[in-house]
Amino acid sequence: MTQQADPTSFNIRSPHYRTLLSAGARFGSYMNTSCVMDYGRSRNWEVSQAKQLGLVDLTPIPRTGFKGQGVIQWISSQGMEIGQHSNKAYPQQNGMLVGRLADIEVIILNGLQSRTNQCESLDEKHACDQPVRCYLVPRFNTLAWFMVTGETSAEVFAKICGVDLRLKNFSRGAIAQTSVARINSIIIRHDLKEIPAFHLLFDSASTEYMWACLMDAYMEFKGSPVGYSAIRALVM
Amino acid sequence: METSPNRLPPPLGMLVNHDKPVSFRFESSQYTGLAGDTIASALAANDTWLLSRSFKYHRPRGVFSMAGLEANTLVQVGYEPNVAADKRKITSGLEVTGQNYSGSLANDRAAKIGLASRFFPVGFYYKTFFQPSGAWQNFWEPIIRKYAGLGQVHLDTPRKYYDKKYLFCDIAVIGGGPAGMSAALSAANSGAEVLLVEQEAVLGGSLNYGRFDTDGKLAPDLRDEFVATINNHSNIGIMTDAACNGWFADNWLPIIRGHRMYKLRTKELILATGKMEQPAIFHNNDLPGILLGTAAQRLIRLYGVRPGRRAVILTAGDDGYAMALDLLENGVNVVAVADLRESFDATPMYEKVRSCNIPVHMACTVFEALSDKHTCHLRAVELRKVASRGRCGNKVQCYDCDLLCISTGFMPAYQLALQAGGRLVHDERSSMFSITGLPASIHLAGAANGENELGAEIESGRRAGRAASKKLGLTVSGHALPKQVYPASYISTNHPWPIFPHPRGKEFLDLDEDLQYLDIVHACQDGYTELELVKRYSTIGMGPSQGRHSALATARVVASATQRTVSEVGVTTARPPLHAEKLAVIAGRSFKPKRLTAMHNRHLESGAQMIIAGMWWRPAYYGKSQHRNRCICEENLAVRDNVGLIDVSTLGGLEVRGPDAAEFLNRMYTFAYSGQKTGTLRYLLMANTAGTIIDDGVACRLDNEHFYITATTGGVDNVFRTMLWWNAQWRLDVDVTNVTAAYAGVNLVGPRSRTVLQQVCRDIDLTSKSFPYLAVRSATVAGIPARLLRVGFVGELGYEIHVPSLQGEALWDALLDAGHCYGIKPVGIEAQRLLRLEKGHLIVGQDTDATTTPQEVSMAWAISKRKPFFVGGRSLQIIERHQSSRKLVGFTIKAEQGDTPEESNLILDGNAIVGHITSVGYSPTLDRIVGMGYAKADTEPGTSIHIKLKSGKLQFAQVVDMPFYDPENKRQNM
Repeated sequence: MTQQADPTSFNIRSPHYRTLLSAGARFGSYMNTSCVMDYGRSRNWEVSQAKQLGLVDLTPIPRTGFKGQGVIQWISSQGMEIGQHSNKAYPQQNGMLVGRLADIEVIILNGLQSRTNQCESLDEKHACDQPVRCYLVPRFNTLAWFMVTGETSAEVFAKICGVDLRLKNFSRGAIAQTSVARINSIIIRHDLKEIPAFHLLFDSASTEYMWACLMDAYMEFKGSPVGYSAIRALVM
Repeated sequence: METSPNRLPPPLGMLVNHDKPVSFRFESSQYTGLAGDTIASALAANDTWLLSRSFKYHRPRGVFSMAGLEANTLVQVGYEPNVAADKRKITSGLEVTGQNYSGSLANDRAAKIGLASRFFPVGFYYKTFFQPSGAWQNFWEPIIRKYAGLGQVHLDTPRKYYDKKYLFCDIAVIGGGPAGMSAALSAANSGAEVLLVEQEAVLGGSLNYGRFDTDGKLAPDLRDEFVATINNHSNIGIMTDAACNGWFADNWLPIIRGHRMYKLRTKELILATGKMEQPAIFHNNDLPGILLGTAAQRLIRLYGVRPGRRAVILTAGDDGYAMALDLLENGVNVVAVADLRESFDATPMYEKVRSCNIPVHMACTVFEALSDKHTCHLRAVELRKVASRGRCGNKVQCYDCDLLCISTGFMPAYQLALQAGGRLVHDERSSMFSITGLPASIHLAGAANGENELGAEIESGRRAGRAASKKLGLTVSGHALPKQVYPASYISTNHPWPIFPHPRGKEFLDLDEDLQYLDIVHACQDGYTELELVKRYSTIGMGPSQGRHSALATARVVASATQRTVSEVGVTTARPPLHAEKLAVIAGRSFKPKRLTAMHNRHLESGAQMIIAGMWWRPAYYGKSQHRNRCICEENLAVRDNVGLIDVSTLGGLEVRGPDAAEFLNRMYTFAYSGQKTGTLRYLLMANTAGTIIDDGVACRLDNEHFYITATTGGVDNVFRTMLWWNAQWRLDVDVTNVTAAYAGVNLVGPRSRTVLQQVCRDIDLTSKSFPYLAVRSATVAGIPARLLRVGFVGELGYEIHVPSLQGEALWDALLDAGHCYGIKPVGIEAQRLLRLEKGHLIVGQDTDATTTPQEVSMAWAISKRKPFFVGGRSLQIIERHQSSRKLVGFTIKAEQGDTPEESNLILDGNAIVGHITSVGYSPTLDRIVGMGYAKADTEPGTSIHIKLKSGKLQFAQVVDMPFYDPENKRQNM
């Protein structure tokens, strides 16, 4: 169990850490910030909840993005494997997930199991290389990051999103750039082994609002917030 | 056990549980029904038939369709008005009352208005608007308002949770009757994902209550087989108690079930919506006890309720004879059948009725229905020979009865099909309908397609299912549809003219609006010959039933009155919603996004009063609302005399990067940026192609190919979109990224701002020499990477500090800590607005409008004359040649001079309006009221303008040069 941490002891804070605290969140230090590790319940309970319907705040987990005509070339030169299709996410061997949003834009998520800031390293490399027509997009701050997990996750999305995200129609790795509860969002299906799961990335200024929308939608399916520890347990 | 007088034993009553009595109250009396009963069926079981009073004449009304289709059964249930009693299930303790009566439901004093019905001719309502002059406002309106409406709306109605959900499928089938079930099975067997939507509680449609053979066994057997097959089919999803309430483009369908609206998107759509039984028109055809035939059958089979004791049947086909058998089998004495037809070939159904010794009167109709004076219920009908179309001949007989069932014809449930672009076609020879002209992705099945025979309905469903599957590229295979032999001799017909005017009128075409035969004839005689005009003039079809029972009869009467065919007259436009829809369903769980800055909770903790700016929530001022003005003054003075901290995170932020970045800005904005030095700021003014100001901000040049630019809070999305739109044409080598949410920002401002900043920012030299006004620097503030901008929006020494948004709160905390010993004060946007007003800086959108040009606001200095092109440049060249009629001027009023004007107060020149005030406020720094507004273009400083206050008084203000404060700009350059 990670040592409990006070979110305000870090400069980097999840935008809705107060709401998470009031839901019983226990924060642990994570890289140079803090992350909700659990909600004070047993690991088994949270894992079980994540399998059914869980909501995880991954906002403190690193992510980055790049856009421009030279993006795919530069990303590939960094040893990343990225396919030809847009709106598709490509898992990397180091655990990172590269989402190809367009021919000229990618979003990159840190590996969920990684204990290093892979995205920051990439940003630093980018600053060093200064690749032509490849521009950094500060996704860590522009986008908040939630993960919707569990068997009924597609049902929850049906209440707030007009895209058909049912598991049989929205395959693993599929990306939808769409509106969720009227907020521009990126949805990436990224199952936790056999557990259906979706990354939800959206305007970071709307974090409080989106959390409330999801919690409201979750009630019908007895969903609940779960901590990062449960997710890690599921991917171990 | 319940012992209601009209309750029939099981197995009748497929929707009720005979072992579960439920008590409820109607009109203050206690009743007992069964679980599964509707209010109407439970009351009918207890021999209570009077449910409501009609809208106009307050006539007694009761069950008519048992399908929730008309206003007859609307009742008040607790807080909820206009509840269809024949649809709403009873629950224990339910409190139900009638509607629209004066006195009691049984003795409605307002029913006397019916005696004066001849003084309320068609179009009466509209005529009251015109003559005599003034009568509407002083006489008619108060009366009509008093009598308008049915139920009562309670403002203290408790809130309930309503929401919406998206649904998707390959093929949606609307209607779970025989055709719909057949279509669903056929489509599902091809591998398609099918959603079967049924508005009733169970699948089956007419198979649940209708009779299709003399033995009455075919329907239940067929239904059971269909339902079992469908329930076991993995490709079919079933939604019962669900109403498809409209059709929208690309097969978007709102399906309402309970408190939720499902937004269904389907690739192919099969409409198996069935048919609507139509009433016959004769004198007193609206009495309680007169039911559509299918209503009586629904009462018997769905609810186990005997619909009467002595029945007469008016029919024009086998449906009436089938019903006679149903009634006979369930203890109703069928005293006569009146058949509108002169002759027909005997069918098994007819033969069986004859064999029961029931008198059948051919070529006969009901001339009039008679009511019991005390109960208002039907007590007898007079049958007469049909002499010719619509004319009655000699009296045949008068039958005492308490039930009259009408089965004289049907009409397809056409509404959804017509919403989707279909056209209703009437065959004048057979009086049957068909629908043509539907989009390729919509298929019709069953009675909705004009099929009126069970076997044909099922086959039609099978065809529709196959056609829809084929459109999806699916292989259509054989399937396990029930194999039955259907009685082909069953004749369901549509009588061409079941309308019999009476010398005393009261033969109602529209029960909702109490419209009689002659009302429609007179509407045509008044010149309203088109159906849409007849509808609006007479209000026919405008009640809750939306013409379901009146459209056909109206079309026939109008066709007759104007010597046209029913096809030529048509029906009125079908629009969603199909059924009455609660506003809560539409509004339920709407999403209202709100954006919060990283410091939002800190503002709340400091007692800020928050206001909304677009989607953002911003602190207006810090303190209690009753101290608003004092708080704003104190915050204003803190900035002028000391140091304040303003949250400016909502400012738009855009990164413009690439070799053509400067050229891009040159084209997008009025100023020039090619020569802007790295590390400096420059003002941005954006115009549209008409030369109108649409946004402003600053451009920070971070390196040769990189600008960080700001835009207004409300304008950034449009600026970003506009930039992408233009560069899609220009193809400049530049990238534009909206990073508004990436940065939190504060304005640390005031004469002591540098001192405070020095406490937490030590990696750059903050002196004016190294970091002058209009410069930009990268540094760390309290360990947070930051962009520092020396801007002068409020006219004091200040630093806009932009940091990654997730660190915004930490920055706010650090600066307040650092400034604590210097008396730093958080400052809201009200004070900021006042501060910039003192400085004469405009806010785009507040001090500009949709036509404001740079010349009008004295900003010609922000237009580069040397650039070959920029958006709006050509328009501005043209505008420059013409003198504008107005300009933005600054004015002052002495604080003690009188009332303070408000924004939007008019500025007058004599009686002419020349402009309005855009910004105004009391300046504690200057101790006077300062403001800006549009005045005549030749207005000069030193002259006066006249302001019309909200009170109507005129206020004089002196025009002065701007800025009001620090005209030499010394303070921001410190």
